[in-house]
Amino acid sequence: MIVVDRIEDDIAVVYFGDEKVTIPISELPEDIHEGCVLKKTPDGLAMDPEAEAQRRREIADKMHRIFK
Amino acid sequence: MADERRRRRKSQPANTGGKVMLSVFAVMFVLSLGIYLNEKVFRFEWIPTSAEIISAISGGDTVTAAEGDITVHFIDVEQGDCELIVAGDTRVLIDCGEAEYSSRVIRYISGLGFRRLDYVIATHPHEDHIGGMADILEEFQVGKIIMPEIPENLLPTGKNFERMLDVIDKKGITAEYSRTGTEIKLDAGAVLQILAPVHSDYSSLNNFSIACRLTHGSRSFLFTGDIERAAESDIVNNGEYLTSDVLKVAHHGSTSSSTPTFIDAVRPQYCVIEVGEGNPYGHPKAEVVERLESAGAQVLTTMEYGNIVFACDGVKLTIHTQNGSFVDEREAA
Repeated sequence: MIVVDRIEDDIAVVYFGDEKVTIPISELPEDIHEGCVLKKTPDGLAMDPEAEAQRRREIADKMHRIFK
Repeated sequence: MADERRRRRKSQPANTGGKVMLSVFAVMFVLSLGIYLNEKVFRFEWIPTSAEIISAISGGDTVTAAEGDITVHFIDVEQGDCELIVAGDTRVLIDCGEAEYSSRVIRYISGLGFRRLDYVIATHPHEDHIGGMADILEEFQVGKIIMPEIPENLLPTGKNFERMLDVIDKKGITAEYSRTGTEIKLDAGAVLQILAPVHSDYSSLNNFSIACRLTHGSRSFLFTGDIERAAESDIVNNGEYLTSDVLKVAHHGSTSSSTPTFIDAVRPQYCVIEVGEGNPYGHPKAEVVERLESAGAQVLTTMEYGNIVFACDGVKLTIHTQNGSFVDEREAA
């Protein structure tokens, strides 16, 4: 899975699995944001909103079940 | 027959040597197995862990406190945050840096002889603050973990945050969302007060960071996670007493944080910036360092000094640094 962990000024910190890569946000899709799930396409990295929404739901459910 | 007896006598010393070697290996194997089983199953504090043994062999530099004192450790995890408060028998870990530094943090804490963390505070779930948390929670006995409640649209989607949740679940660690205003009473009369997040509608994950103030006697420390100007402003406007001797500078010295209003309210003597050499973000920013120094603070970075430890008896602060080159300008003045 490819995810954007955080954005520091104009640099996105992207995790390709365990590998951390810093990428200027100018080289990423325009609406890039923290927590964004990305996928590889022939044109480069593209956002995957469905995968992101599903991932956020899964993690939110888990977090709310564990934390009180 | 006589020849055979002679041959046997001749070969005896070699056999004895073999037996000694075998006995040594057997003892080492049993010891290693005992240490392994203790780490994974029994967890007796009086039996050293493998990390403690490695730390002792490698001559780890640790600072311990006298009775009634506290120590605050800023553990060098390169570009990330990790702080450990030791107040008597109470230990509080605030953040732990990226996953790649978890073994360093485990070695450091084990080197102090600790197997238990009473509180773990995850200021906010960015990788440079909680990336290694699953390993830390797996390694130590943990009393309680505290984290801010993050809205779903800002939750991280990476696997290390999920691993952290899974370990909490598996080990049945008490897990609570932070409640601003809560006071945690520590040993040695120290108190840790949760100051932020003040609101629940921030648009940036950094602003959800737990900020907390530690007081011991007349001395105090302020820990700020990655709060930015909006959260700083809310903390100031919330009217809490913020003046602190030591400030853990927010967001690694980024210009997103350390506004003049906030620094005026804190009036720190010492500012610690946890930051990695050659980081691609240019942290700490020169204008932030200048602002802190102009306010009269002495700035220490983990990039320059490595691990930084403050020992405090409630009146006096003593500073120890891993790289040993620190000159306390305030003491010298």
